[in-house]
Amino acid sequence: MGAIGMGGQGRADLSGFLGFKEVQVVAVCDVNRSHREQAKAMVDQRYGDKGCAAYNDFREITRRPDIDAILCATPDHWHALISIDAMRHGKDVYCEKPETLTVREGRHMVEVCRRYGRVFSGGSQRVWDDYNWFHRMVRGGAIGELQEIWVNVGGPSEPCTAPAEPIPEGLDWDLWLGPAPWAPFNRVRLNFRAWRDYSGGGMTDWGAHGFGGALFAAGLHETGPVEILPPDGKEIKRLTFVFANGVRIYHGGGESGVLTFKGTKGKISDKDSRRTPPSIVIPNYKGRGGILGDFLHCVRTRERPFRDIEIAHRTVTVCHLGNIAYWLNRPIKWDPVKEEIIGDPEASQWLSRPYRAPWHLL
Amino acid sequence: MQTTRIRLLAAMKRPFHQFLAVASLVAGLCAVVRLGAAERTAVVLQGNESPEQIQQAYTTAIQALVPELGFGPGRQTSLRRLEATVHHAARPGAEVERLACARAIAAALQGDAPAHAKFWLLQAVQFVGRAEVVPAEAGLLRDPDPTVREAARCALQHNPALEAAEALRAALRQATDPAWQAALALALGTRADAASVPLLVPLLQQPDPALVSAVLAALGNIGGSQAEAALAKAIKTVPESLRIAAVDAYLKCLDRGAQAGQTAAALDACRRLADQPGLPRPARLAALTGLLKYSGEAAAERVLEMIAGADADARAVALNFVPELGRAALKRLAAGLDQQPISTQALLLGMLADRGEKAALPVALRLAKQPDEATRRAGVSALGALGDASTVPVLVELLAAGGTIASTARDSLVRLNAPGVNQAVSSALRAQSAPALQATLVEVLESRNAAEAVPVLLELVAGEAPEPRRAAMRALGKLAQPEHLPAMARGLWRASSDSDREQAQAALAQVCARVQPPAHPSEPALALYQQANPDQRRLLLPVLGRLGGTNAFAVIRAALASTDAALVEAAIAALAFWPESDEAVEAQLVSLAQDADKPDERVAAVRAYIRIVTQPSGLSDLEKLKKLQRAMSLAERNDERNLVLAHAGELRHIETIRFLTAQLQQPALVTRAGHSLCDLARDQGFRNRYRAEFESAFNQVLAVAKDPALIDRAKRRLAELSGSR
Repeated sequence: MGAIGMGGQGRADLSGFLGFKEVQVVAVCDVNRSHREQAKAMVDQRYGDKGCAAYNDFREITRRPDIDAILCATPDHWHALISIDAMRHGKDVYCEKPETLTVREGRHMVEVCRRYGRVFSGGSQRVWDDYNWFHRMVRGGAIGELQEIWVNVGGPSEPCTAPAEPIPEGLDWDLWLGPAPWAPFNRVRLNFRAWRDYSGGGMTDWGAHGFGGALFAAGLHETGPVEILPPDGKEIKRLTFVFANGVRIYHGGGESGVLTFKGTKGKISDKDSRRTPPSIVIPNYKGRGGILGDFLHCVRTRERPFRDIEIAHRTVTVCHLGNIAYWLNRPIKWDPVKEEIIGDPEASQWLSRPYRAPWHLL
Repeated sequence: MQTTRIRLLAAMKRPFHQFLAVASLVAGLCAVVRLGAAERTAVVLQGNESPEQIQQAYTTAIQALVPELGFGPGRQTSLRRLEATVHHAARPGAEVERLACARAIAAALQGDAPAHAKFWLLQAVQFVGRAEVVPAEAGLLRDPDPTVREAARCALQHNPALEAAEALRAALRQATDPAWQAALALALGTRADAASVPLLVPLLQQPDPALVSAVLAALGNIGGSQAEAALAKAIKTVPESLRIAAVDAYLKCLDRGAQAGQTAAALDACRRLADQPGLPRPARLAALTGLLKYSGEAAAERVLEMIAGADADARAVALNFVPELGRAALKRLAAGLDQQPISTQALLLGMLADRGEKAALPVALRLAKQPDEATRRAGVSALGALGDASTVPVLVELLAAGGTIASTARDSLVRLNAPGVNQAVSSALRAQSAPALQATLVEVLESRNAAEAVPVLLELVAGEAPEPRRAAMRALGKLAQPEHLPAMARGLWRASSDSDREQAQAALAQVCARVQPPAHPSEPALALYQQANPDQRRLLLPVLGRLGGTNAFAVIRAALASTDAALVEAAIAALAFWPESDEAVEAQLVSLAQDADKPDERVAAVRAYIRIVTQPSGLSDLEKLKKLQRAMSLAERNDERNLVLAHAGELRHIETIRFLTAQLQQPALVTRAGHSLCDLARDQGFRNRYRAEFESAFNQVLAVAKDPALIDRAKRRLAELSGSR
């Protein structure tokens, strides 16, 4: 394996993969020299040698013929490009959530994944690990017919106008930016989660977990909403996703924790998690060792992992649509089959973004 | 009353006489133009303005914002205002405003705004501009600032107007720098601009690999016969490093053609490509996938051929493709499984089972009897997805055989999804005599929510064997109705251990809770109690305790006054389960905690009291704290004192901080009191409000605590407190 994006989360994921006997990490990559040196040190210590390569440019990993799979844990705006490049060059991909920065990136990743017969797993382990109690409760009928869900995660990102600062030694700022619009270096940008050019904010960060859990419990993980309503200061108190079957998902609120579900027979949230759920069998990971083990199992068997790219894309699309509704502050109508916004050309423009040359999504 | 007062952001920074001059210029306007809050549009109209007035309003507003756009402190407000203005103007049904806004931005782009301002304007115009902004955007393709040039290119790429494509083509004709040519090619490719193909194809001969790569990608996204032909040739002529890019682009072209009905041509092309010597492996994988994708109705047979063949890549591609097959193809795949090696059958069977393809059921039944364990497991697992009532005996037999497959068989019994399965499992249960197997089948019925199994479960609770009786009691708790209570109670009378009794009592209470209002849940249990003998009453009291209610409490209180020591003990145990806050019950428990003869009874009373006073009740945190403090005074052991302190950590009041801090003097209570203080301090607002008290408390914790986890937590809380100054 090769590991790309060796900040805090990346090194945590790397540590996870290093614990699997069937994995040999042969290379790490980061545009920040300090990060890649720390990652290399981790790998070298694990194997007791100094054989791990350390690169600045991800293509050195995605193009290496001796690498079967990659871990991608870069900032969000790089996820699609790196994953696509890796899959085109025959690698399977484990990519941190949120898997995309735009809706069109996600669909493109699905197409490439299928075209090259690759295995792609998104990295929202909480969908099963943290929320499987909810899946059993909801799908097992403990709250009757599902009506409403509250997903308590952060909000959208925003543009960054931070002034220029000297670029720190060891950071390849141009490559850090990659496909994002040019901007002067400022250390606040490295906290990429807050900024629209690099991320969808808490909405996509924890949203990938929260909405992922909500959609999976509700059995809506292979479709999408038909309408997204931002709060209007009157009847609509919270951003609301309306689904064709009548279920509504609200952004924020609920009773406790990340998820609250309400059905015809009651309401559940974290504080109820001591209730014994119905003992129904819900297919989840195919291998042992959590979401990483599931990915590695599917690399061997060529099955689709629990967080296959189609499912991950559908989840993050919900988050992106929520952000678009917030940014434009008006309702959005969505066709989940065609994956198009209906009747709003400006909103449709937000489904993709131009990449800074020479990067492209083609 | 309309006003002509105008306030502009920029005007606020000008000398007063200039402000008056600006105001006088627009004094004739009838519209009210006013600035909203920072995140609101800079233009708010009355609704009766002429297009000229609307244009003037947007021009004024954009001009005012331009000087404030850039990178630096305080720039974000203006950027937000610009974006809000654009979003508002671009809303559906507001074409006049959209046009006015776009023209205003175009004018600003053609003016002398600084580069950073133009950069942000070009970002914003992507979402509101059409043909009217193209001249301005195109003009900036020659800007001396590379950031502005790139932003202009992106804006044209994202502009839906055909004129934008023309401008990009014109720029490409004039471009000589390979990097810029590549950027323009990508813009045209992203737009899928067919008219640019004649411009792009010659660029495939250029020496710069980045340029060639960009052109390949562009042609792939545009598609069409000319692009396809150029790409087919390029696959053979480009450097090795670009071959995958060339194949990828070519396959995209084929895909577009297939979508337009040219499936046979796409299939042929993929076949030739897959056989091409020297093709990079990933490209070959993609060609093989294309072979399957364009096979139409023959896909299933092709999948089987590739899986059975010696080509490992083809096999991997075929396996990966199975989830893509349509329903008809899946049936043919299932029909052809017999011809495959057993290991392949097992693998494919799992995929077919995932898709619910019933035609594979015979294969699953056959594999479930194979000697190889992995194969047998695959077959047994698939039965859960594909089987029906007739599969139940097979699975029960496998379950009875034990071993490593038994758990898979159990899972499959739970997952079977067809009419008559519950009856079949109930019949199998009746026919069994082995207690362990009976218990497992009961668990299966419980997992299946099989309400029709209640009669057979009621038979089991009256039986002798404890294991199936225990399982049946638990299942009945989930499945039975109040009218089954008398029959179910036999399971309680026969329970032979404390844990079985407690579980039976919980199950009975669970069933009672299903009574329909206005009846109270305790009513069925009370009716049973009235008819019960003394031993049975002793067993029923904890059931009443779980259900609560005035009548149940009256019975329990009467039992407390009894001379039967066992009945008194049962009554106290009953109160330990009381489900809600209740003053009368609390008073009773206080009395027991003070006056009961036996130490265990006093402990049980205190624990029950703590549990009840911490139930949701509508009382304030201070009122709950007072009750806990009462419990503290009643507690005779440190176990109960620590239980009080644990619950105190949930009550946000300054008195709680003081209460917990006071406990730090007791060595046996330090750890719990300290952790509860840390729990309280998790709430940032509460923590900051009582910063001084918390700081003092945590310093005391650090002075006396020995638990490393507590010391670590206290230090972190102190750090949070000092960080929030």
